Formats: sequence, structure tokens, C-alpha cells
Amino acid sequence: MKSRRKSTIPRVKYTAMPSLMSQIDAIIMASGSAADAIGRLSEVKDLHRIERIGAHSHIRGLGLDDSLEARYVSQGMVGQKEARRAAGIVLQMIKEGKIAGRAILLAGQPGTGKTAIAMGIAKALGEDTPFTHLSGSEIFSLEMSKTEALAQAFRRSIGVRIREESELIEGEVVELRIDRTADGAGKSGSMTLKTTEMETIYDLGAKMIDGLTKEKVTAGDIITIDRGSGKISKLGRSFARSRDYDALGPQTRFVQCPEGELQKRKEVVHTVTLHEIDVINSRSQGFLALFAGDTGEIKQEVREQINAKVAEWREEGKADIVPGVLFIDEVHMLDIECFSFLNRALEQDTAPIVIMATNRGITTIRGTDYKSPHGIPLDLLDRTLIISTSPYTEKDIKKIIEIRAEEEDVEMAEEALELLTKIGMDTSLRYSLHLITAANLVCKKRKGSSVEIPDVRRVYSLFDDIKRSTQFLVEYQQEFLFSELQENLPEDAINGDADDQPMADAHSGGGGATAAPSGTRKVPLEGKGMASGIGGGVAPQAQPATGEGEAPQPMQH
Amino acid sequence: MTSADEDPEKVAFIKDSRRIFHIQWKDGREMVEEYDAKTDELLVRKVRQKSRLGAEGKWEYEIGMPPSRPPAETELLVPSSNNPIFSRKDTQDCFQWRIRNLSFPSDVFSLSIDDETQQILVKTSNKKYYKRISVPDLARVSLPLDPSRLEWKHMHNTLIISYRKPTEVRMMEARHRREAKERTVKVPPMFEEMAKALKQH
Repeated sequence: MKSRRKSTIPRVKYTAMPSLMSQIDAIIMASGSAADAIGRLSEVKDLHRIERIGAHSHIRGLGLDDSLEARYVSQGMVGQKEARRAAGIVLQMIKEGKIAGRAILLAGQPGTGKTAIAMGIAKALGEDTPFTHLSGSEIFSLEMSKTEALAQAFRRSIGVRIREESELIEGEVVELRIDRTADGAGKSGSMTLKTTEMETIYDLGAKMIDGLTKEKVTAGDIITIDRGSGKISKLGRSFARSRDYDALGPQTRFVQCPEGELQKRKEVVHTVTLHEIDVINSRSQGFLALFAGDTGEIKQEVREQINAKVAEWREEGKADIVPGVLFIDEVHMLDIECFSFLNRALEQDTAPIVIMATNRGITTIRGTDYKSPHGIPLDLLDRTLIISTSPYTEKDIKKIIEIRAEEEDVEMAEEALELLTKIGMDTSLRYSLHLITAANLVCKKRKGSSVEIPDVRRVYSLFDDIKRSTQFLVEYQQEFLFSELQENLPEDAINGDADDQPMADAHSGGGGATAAPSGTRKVPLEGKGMASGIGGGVAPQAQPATGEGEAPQPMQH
Repeated sequence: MTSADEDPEKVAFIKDSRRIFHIQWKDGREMVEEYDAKTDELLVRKVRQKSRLGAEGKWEYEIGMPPSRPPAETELLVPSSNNPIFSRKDTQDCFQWRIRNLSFPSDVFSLSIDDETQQILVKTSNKKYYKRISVPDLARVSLPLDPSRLEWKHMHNTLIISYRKPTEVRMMEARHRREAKERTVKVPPMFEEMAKALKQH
């Protein structure tokens, strides 16, 4: 059903973009129905589990060399050298831990790698530095006030490195057995661990099994397991097993089998965030916890108590503060109250480095009528260092598509890559990145080994980009729902709505549409025609009623 | 002994024919003793401590065993039920530990006392079992472990270790028992608090 409906419409669209269309048309004719493809795809899915890939999963760092110069292509980053170099300096500041309470603003057009740079910083900082990723719209919730949500995000981005006693199991793996249950869904398993003195068999839970599989633990490894968090660390291989294989990786470390009891209490250094400590201490304890629901908002007294305690630990040398990064994407979605909260929060001594990103130019600040650059008040802007990103060049786009194709495990022919690059230049980078996956599926469907031009053309014709979609809307707006209003209203109703009416008209005029609405109503139509004709369809404000004197005056009733 | 040691909050009540004696120190440390209400036999003694970050700790059982329950799905790993099970249950005159599920011949076991750490050491010559047993009761009255008081035997797959209580310990236990009886209240205080909490909700 869907395909029939589609096929009636696109033919007209193609006239707009003649370059690729003639070839694409032919391919559509040749292809089978979409339903067919979906049926076969679901079969494939069962056999081959596809791993999920995020939009920025290819980024592994900022791609800088030792002198903080940006390499053209490195760690998944391409081009944008200036911005990356600036980000590198920010990174250095964070690592040294000297500055806190600074704000960085990444500003640039959509699809110029702002989020990618932030992710790069996060990756380069490593796992021990807290990095909170927040989208501007996330803080608006009915359960929690905006500023509380921001305060929690701030505290999530400050780590405290502290020594705490925890229960460890440390031993050499003698045997590891993992079985699937009869229905194939769950897993069960057992592991035998030993020290020089003793041996114990453990039954494993599902989470533990996953962890052990992920760490690739095998018999002969010396491991420690944190009983509280379930964190597994591999210390190395047992000396007793050093002769098992002739070939061993260069990183293989040999360790003595631990002595004494398997379960030990040890002081372990770990990093928790201030927010985690807040939560632990604001949960009602004992049997009262049964009545308590979510922690929700955290009391200011609790926060103050914890700040005091952390300060005390710092003085005693028991803990270190690890300032992290709070990344607020789409920061223009915050409103004036949040911005004013940020102003103050940035000045506290336990403030993280705040990186914000926005793709807006001069626009109204949310919650006010004032306009400001990036939709951020000037007093906050004044406290930020602004890194701007610029649109990618053709070379950059090609490289990025190449990297993404590799990340998504897509084989691509050189010409197809060229075509995607061209599409990326003409439309947007995001659109052409989306086409990679789609084209790959089309390619698989025809049992091809690598994505060729026809695959790209096919998906290009199946999925509109913004430009084509807008143009289509401009041409056919009248046929969509709710645009009948202008056509079928009685005369005096139109008079009342006279201000709105020409707007719609001016749009179609701007698109150069020739499609005139079927003339059921004469007088206002003439008025429209005159207005758009004279105003060249550019000025939406053109008022048909008074427009250029020549128009009949239906408004005067 | 720090200042936090002084003046703990103590309360006792009877529940399910057990006298429960709860002691709470100011620093968040807690101790619970459970006596049989009729015979005054000490069945359970457990302690717990808040972690440095303020989280509630797990109960550590000095005497008796935690109530057994099937392991939850979310549990990371639990010792298999075939492993030796360690528990302590005192008699009138002795501290007594039982280690069940030890199906090795009796001659593999050897017991000694580690003077440095003040622990009883259980070793096996086949390297299957090893345990360091601390005796917090002796530490509380600051007495060292005395090898002459230690006895052990292995039968029915169970290793039974006894240590004759010094008089100081027996006196302290008697004091505790008396205090528990004296402080016993009719309504468990939790219920009052619980009623308060319910009213608030």
C-alpha cells in the first residue's frame, strides 16, 4: 500500500533535482517490493546478531599528537583542526585539574562535529574522570525542578577518589564452566578459584558470567572480583601455567598464585561522584527505607554536610577531588533561570568544567523576549571560551563517510563513496551518513558484496533529504491536512483571518510553484494573485486587502 | 576506645520468642544479639558498620548464620553449596565453631594459633581449605589467645573447634544477658517508629 502511494508522488519531485533522478528512476522500476526485502531481512537477523552502533561510536579520542597539534585523520576524528586544537588545550587544563568552574562553548552549524569533539574529550580523559552528558531538554521534568536537575548534573561531574575497604575475592581460576539453560535464554555457570592454601567453587550469576566473558577470563588467570561492585580485574596469568603455550601475547604478565584465604578485605582506591555520595546519604536507612520511594530532590543540608565531609577527607589526605566534565548539548534549550543558575554554580569551588554546544545563531533566549548570540545571555557568554566549528570540506566528508562505513562494517566501492560524498556536500553530512546503513541493506538484499552506485541511488530515491522534502511540501502544501481552511471558509471568515492567509500564499510563491488552487472562490483568489505577483512572493507581510491599490477590496465589508 | 564508644543507645525487646538486644553507637556502628527467651542461650550476634561514604554496611555474623534464602537473580556470585560451611555457636563454657561439608580424612587438618594477628588458623595438607578465625570476644576484653584452651575434633564431615572461655569473657556475657533482660520493653521500638512513619505518608 505504502509503495503505491509513494510512487504517485515522487515523479513530480524528481523534476526538481534532475542530476541524479533519471538514473534513479530506472532503478526503482527494476527493484522488487519493499515488503519482500523486510521478510528476508528478519530471517537474516536471527542468524547474525547485529551489534548496535551509536552515532559517535567511531570516536576514540581527539586525535592530537604530543604537542597538541591535531592530526588530519586520527582516532576517528577528521578535519576541524582549529576546534580540535582548542579542545586539546581544554583537555590539558582538565587533566591538570587546576581549573574548575570554566565554561567552554562549542558553536557551529549542525553537523560540524560539536558532539563529536565533546565525545573525543570524554574518551581522551579516560574512565576515571567523570563525564556527564546531558541534553538541554533533559532537565525539564515534572518530578524535579530544572535547577535541581542541573545541580545533580554538576555533582555527577565531580569525582572523589577515596580509599575504602572492600571485600575482594582474589585467586587463580582453576576451572570455569558456563552452561546455557535448556530454553537457551539464561546462562548458569560455576567457577573454581584457588589460592596456594585453599580452593572454592562459586556459582555465578548472569551479570558475573557476562563480566567474565567480556574480560575473556580462562583457566590459569589470576583475577580479583570486587564483591560489592562485581568489578573483575585480571592480574595476569599464573606462573604455573607459563609453559602451557609456546606463543603468548607480548602483554602476558605472569603472577604468583595468591596466598591465604580467597576472600580478603582490602583498601581499594575508587572514584565515586559527589552525586553518588549524596544519594547514599539521603536514602532513608534501616526499615524506613521500605517506605521511601525515589530519592528525587536532594536536600541542601545533605549537600552541605557532604561538602564539609569531603573537605575534611581532603585535609586528612584520605581523598582527592577529580574535577570532571559536564557536557550540555543543545544548550539553547535551557531557559533564563537555568542560565542564571549556571552563572552562580560555575563560581563554586567544586564546579566541573562545563562544555556547552549549540547550533543556534542570534536567537531569543528561552523564557524571555530578548535576543542574544547563541540564545545564551551575555553575562554567561562572557564567562565562556568559545570554540567555533566550521563546515566540513569535501575531503573531510569523504573521510568521515569512509570511517563510518568501516565502523558499521560496510564494504563500499570507490564510486559509491564519491557519490555519497557528493550527496553529503549537496545535502548534509548526517543525511549521507544515514544512507550508508540503508544502502548496505539494499546491497545485502541483492546479495552484493560491496555497496555500489545503484544501491546509493536507490536509497537516495527512497529517502528524502531536507531540501527535497521542503520543496515537495512547498509545492503540495495545499493537499495536506488543515490547509483546506483558506479554501473553504466563507468570505467574512477570511476577512477576519486576513493576516494569516497571505503567509501560506507567500510560501508557495517563494517556491516558484505554478500549481494554482482550483478556483472555487474568485474574489480572494484574485487578491492573492495580485499580492504575490507584485511582491515577487518574497514579502510575506504583503497584505492583499490594501495591496497596491489595484486589488479588489474584500475586507471593507 | 574512642569517644564514640561511650554511651551507646541500647534497647531490647522480645520477638518470636527471641530476646533481641540492639546496641547502636554514635558513629553508626550497630550490634544485635539474639537470645532464646526461655533458655537465655545466645543464638545470634551480628555487627555492622557504615561505610566511609555513609552507605549501610552488611551484617557480619559473629555467632549464628544469616537466614538462608535462595540466591537472588541479581547476585554476582555465591559460594556453591558443596563448599565447606562455617558457623559459630557457643556453649556455656566454650566458643565453638563448626565447619561442615569437610569430607576429607581427619589427618589432613592442622590447627594453630597465629600470635601476630591473634587468629586461629585452620589448614589442610591437601590445600583444599584454609581459614583464619578471629575471636572478637577476646579482643573486647583484651586477652590473647591461649593454645592450651584450644581443642578440635573431626567427625561426620564436620570439624568442631572449641576454645574454653576465660572467666573475664563469661563475666561479660553474664552482664550482657542481665542488661538485655533489664532493658526489655513491651513494644518493639521499631513499631512505634513505623507507626510514626506511616502517619507521615
